[in-house]
Amino acid sequence: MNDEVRDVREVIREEMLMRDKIVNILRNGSRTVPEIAQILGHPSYEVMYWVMGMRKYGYVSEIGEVTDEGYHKYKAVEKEGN
Amino acid sequence: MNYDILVVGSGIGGMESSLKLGDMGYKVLLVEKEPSVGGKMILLSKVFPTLDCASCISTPKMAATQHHPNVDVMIYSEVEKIKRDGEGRFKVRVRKKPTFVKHSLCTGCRQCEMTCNVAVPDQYNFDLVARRAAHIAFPQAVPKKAVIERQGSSPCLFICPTGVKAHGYVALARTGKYDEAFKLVLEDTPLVGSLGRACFALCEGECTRGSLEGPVSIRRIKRFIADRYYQGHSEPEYKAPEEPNGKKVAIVGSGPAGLTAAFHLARKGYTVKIFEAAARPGGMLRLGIPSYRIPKDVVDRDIKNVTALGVEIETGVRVENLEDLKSQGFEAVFIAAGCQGPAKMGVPGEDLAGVLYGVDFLRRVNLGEAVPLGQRVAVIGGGNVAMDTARSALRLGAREVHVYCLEKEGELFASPEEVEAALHEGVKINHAKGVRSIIGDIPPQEVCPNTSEGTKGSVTGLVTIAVKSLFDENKRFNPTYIDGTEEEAAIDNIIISIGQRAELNFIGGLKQITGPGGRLAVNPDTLATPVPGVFAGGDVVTGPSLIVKAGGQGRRAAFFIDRYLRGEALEGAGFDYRLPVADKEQVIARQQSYKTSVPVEKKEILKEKPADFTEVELPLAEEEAQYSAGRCLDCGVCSQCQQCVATCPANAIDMGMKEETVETEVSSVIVSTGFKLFPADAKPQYGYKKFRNVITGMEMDRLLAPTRPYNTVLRPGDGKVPESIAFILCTGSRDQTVNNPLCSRVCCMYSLKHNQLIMGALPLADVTVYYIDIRAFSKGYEEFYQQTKGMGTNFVKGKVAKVEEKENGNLILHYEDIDNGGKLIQAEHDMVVLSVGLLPNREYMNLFAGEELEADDFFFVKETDEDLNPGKTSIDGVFVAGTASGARDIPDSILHAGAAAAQAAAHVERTRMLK
Amino acid sequence: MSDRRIGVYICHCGGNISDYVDVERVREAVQGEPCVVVAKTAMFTCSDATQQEMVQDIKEQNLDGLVVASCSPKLHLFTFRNVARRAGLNPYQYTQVNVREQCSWTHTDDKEGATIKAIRLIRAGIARTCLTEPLEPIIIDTVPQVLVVGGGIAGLRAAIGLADIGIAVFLVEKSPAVGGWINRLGKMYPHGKNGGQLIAKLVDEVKKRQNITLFTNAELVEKSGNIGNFNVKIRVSGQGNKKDNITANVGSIIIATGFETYQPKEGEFGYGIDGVINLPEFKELLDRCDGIPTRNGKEIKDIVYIYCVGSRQQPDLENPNLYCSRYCCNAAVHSSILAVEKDPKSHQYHLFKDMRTYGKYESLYGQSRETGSTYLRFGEDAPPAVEKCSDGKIKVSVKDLLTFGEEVEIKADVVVLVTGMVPRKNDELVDVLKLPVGRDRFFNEIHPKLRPVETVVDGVFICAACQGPKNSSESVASALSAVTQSASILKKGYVELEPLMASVNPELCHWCDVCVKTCPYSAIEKGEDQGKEVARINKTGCKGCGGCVPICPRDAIDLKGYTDAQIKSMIDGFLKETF
Repeated sequence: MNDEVRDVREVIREEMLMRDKIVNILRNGSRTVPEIAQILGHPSYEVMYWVMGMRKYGYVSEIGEVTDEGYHKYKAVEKEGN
Repeated sequence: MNYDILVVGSGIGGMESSLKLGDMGYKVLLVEKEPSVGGKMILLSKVFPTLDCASCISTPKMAATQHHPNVDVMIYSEVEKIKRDGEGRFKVRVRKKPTFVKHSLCTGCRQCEMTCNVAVPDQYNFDLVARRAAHIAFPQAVPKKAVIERQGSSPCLFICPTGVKAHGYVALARTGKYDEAFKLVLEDTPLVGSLGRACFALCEGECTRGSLEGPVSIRRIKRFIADRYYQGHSEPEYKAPEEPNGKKVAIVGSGPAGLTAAFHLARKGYTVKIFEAAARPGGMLRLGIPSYRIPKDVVDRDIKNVTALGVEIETGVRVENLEDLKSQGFEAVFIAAGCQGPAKMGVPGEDLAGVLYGVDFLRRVNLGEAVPLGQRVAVIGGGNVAMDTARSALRLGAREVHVYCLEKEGELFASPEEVEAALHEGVKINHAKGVRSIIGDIPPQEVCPNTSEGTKGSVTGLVTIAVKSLFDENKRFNPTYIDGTEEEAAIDNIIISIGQRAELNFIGGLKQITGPGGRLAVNPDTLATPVPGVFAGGDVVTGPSLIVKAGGQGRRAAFFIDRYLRGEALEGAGFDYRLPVADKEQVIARQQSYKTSVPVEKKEILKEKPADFTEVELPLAEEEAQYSAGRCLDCGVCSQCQQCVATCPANAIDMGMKEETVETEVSSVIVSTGFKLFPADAKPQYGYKKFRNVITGMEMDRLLAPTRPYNTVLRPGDGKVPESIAFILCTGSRDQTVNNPLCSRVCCMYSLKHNQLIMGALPLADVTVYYIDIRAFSKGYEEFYQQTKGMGTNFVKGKVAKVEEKENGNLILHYEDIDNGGKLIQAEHDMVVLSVGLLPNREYMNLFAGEELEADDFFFVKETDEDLNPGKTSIDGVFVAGTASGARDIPDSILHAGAAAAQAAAHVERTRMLK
Repeated sequence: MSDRRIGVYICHCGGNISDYVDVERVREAVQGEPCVVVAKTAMFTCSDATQQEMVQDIKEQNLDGLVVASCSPKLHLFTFRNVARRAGLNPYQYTQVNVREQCSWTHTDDKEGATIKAIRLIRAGIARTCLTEPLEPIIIDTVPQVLVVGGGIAGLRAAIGLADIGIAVFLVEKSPAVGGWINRLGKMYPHGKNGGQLIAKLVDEVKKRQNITLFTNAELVEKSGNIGNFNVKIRVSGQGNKKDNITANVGSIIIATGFETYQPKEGEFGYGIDGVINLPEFKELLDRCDGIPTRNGKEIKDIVYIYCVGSRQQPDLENPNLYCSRYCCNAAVHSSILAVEKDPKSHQYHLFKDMRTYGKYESLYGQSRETGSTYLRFGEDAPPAVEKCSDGKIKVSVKDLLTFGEEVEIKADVVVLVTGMVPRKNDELVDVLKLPVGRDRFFNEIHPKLRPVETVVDGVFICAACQGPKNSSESVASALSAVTQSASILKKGYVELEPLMASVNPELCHWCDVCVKTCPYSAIEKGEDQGKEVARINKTGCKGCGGCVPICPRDAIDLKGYTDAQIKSMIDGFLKETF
């Protein structure tokens, strides 16, 4: 929440760049958005754009349970070409 | 075809009017600027007060509109002008934007979208999530057809003479699709590895990022993908076509132009043979460019891309007479012989032993011949060839290499990088020096400069003279010198690198194909010479130029040779149509801010006095390549990576689709252009766009919709399931500070709807509504309000003064608690929803020519007789429906649209009576 | 079983169904049912894409039966019948199974139970579909004439609207003169038009049109027939007690009977005290006087407006009006502006709950504040108290929430009770037309968005304030919308009626006439079949209610589309116990 807020367009454009990185992180176990953000070293709101874009296009999905802190966990969806 | 009624805008109002008029038997043209009908309503979750899903109400109407026999729908189209004609009817011009997808073929399978490599904000999800450049607007879109968003050609690929889709392969590399990236480059040129190293990269000069921190390193990305591909594939993955078309084409010269032409022709099924005079194929790639810039194995591998297609390259044969080729069964010839002959200086002593020419010197070095050099070498010339020559001479062991060039420092023709590398390696550059004469061990005599008869001895030195000026008053190259500044230098070898010229010893009897400058004359569009079946391109036509330009000529020649051999007209064939170049300023303006993203610095191993021809430039590491590709701004939006073209099972993608204009006539017009949402960042004290967990009502609707951007209602800031959500009503409505004194009529109710839906979706969440008056005024609304209260929403009558963000993303609201003494109070919430209001969509103002469609005081379309003729406007025969004339909820919009339809029908009847 | 080929489509309804019903499991459970050739699920079966898919399946798989398990047939029966029609399948071989309203929405607490119920419902639907046969709708030529009931601003405008698109109109007004409420009004908001003048203009326009026949002192007393061709009887009262009955054929009927104003009870906010008047009375008073408004010869200086009288009432009252009357905030604010115009020195006090000057009417609110109106907000639990004072003034006490709950007392010359709209008493009309009323006792439309002017009685449309509170221009808009709806049916020239009606098997029928007595639509009469007396069904009269079917002692009557065999097979479908 502290970093300077980047333009949505720029963040969203980077989904393509971050996709493999995020899939690789999630292959080692499901994670919440803040956890992914910490590993990537990017703010959570940016990771939201990427993870939700990837969710929309079938690269990740939520595992259904919510952590005590109130976050969903996401896992990589294995599919052709991933 | 003409219509009775034009309806502009296909929101719920426009659809209602169209359907009812269609049922009445009137012919309706409905024009929608988005790729789907449905307007904003289809994007809502559920609708108050019945809580029907918006989709359940909208989609059948959308489908009915699309299929109605009396309604023609034009999507992705804009009404450009409506003008009354003499007989009371209106002439209408509609611009149909290209979708780049043939809608008659598209099945809506979304495979293009899944494979697309450009992510942009999804406007149909109000930027909460990404969509792709190729996309279907939303899952319930009608028609469910894909659209590819293209905003012109990206500047990088627009400029490329060879037509390489730079943006495309950069986008693919960004996603890690390196093989696809390689194959995309290979679509246009076989010379992937060579261009990755020695391309002049016009694309980088055009790159929009150049106006920020420096261009994307497009060329080095190409080298990365070529290297990576070649490492895994020592041979091409394809073979010669099994059934060639039986026609033979001869190509003279195996340089970039010849190879590229051969490649494209062979792919089309032609049997191609290249005749190469040198002992090895590759032309300038091999013979002109030293190995430390393009290693020979890279050239070999690039050539395999051509020969794998069955192209035969015969080396060591000089075509003596073009006419002979015809008799050998070649039905067309492409001359791409290059400029292999050296330009001479014409100074005394030029015929001395030890005087060499750059092109010859480099050719011999590159073919591995021994070229003995003395200790001191002078290179004459200031171009890239001179630099190559000088640096090669160093590598051959010359102790001193002096370049003499006419230009001043910083004005050389050679690229600055080359100059710097040369200096770094120890080349001395003498600026603004002309050569007066060459001195040998036998005193110089007057000799005819262009003959090499007789040996007059060996070089020992050089007399130079200072340049006064290079150009005359007509800006023609015409150097003058300063008398008395002659200097003599002791030199062992002189290598003259001042230019090249074509050697046309092969044309035989076909003298008519020669042109000015000792080169070949062709039609610049088709590359056809005056002799039927003989085409020419590359340096032999253009003079010494860039590899990509030569390659581009090869590709062009292949296109036209193919047409020629199929008996098709050459003129007007429209080779290589490209959309107009994207406007760089608009590209930059698409974003409010840019994070600094510096280019990866170019890395070269530059030693002083290098002893071998090892490649000097280091490749990009994978991480660097991806980072570099990630700097791309996606100027044209679509990158033309062609993945969708390859993927589409219906072959529906048509990148050459062009805009169309349709003209028609109507008797009456219904304007149903809808509203715009209040831009919430115009209330900066609420922190929208600054604080990620502050969203608008429309965004909350998306979060609650079945086709939502997230898996459930989450905070956009970090994905937390919110426990406490606040609604700030009247954001941008009833507010003089933002120039909108009006009430927007729907925000109270949609917020109440959100309250109920949130309590369903997140049973544990607290919901608080900060309001001034709850305006639940229509049928069933007050009951809905009371029900919401009963469900547990906390209503606070209070004006929120400002919102602050905490470190954890929570938000502090400062508000005046009116019901409890008006104290200033703070409250903390996880998430804040700004219930934004409705503003006029002023686009209608440009629809009409010759007459003004009047606006009311608030810039909505003015209803001139609201009391008796609701929907009537200032123009006779033009009606307004729905929110275009003021904020309205859905039931009121539908009734209003019905009223507009009744009057439009009456107007059509009156017009008919007049006839 | 039969060799039918049926396609079954199960809708997620974007989560409305699939959040509670395991649609995939349902699909698996029904795909093996006899005759099922295609079984699919879809996010939205009503979307164009899924519709297209169904059309394709029907054509390619040669389907002769279609089942969609989704929402209520009220919403999408016609949507999917049209899909069948587009694909070349008889629309009556389509069955809609309601697994939303009747399943997922009612069993949100029991996903397993909801899933099993959905399977049972769909099995029954499949069973019914197996026994469907192609039916053809009954085509009736429409009469291009419309009966408009009510001669207020909405009825007048509707009549003109219809006439202008070539539809003849019978306009029936109960009272001796047309114009309704608006005719009594002077200056109206927001454009300052004069109500009486607006009506005069409309009456002029009506007179100009030869295809409008106006009856005053007239009432609709009988209606028979169907949409497209109703027979109506209009009773016109002449001078004295003379009454004429006029009959006419019309294709549709538009009801624009308007509203009544709420009549406060004695003592409600001081009603009954001299000087406590309702809003229409006050407006009339303002319209009447030229200079400073006076009442009983006294200048009116201090005016208190008490809002929400008769609207937004507390639920614990007897027959409360829970609804908001929509027009009254605007009307009261506008009246106060007029009062200030007439006497700039007068004082206006508004006692309100929520100020609902919605949309552009917000400008009126602003204007009234600029001209000196004072606004005080009272809470639901502390309504203002009104008392008569000895000096002839009226004391109004209120706790104002806007000034930190301060107790305020105002001495007023006039207290205006801002009364809302209530439904007009229209018992006879309701009786004649079988018009449905909603919880608020106004006439009810089928669906506020999909079919906003239609009622459950085909061909009878409602508009303007009889449907719910509306102001004048909103009423006109809805009247024109009813015009559009009428024209969209009548301009086509014909309507299609449901063929789902009773049919008599003449071999079994012995003409006992039991059925005749039970038919509420008098659609059964004596007929003949090969010299034998049998019951005969009047095709345009039968509504397919099925009332005669169980009455017949010889089981000679069946209901097309819901035959005994179909109902039995559906019950078998329900009771199957494998999941």
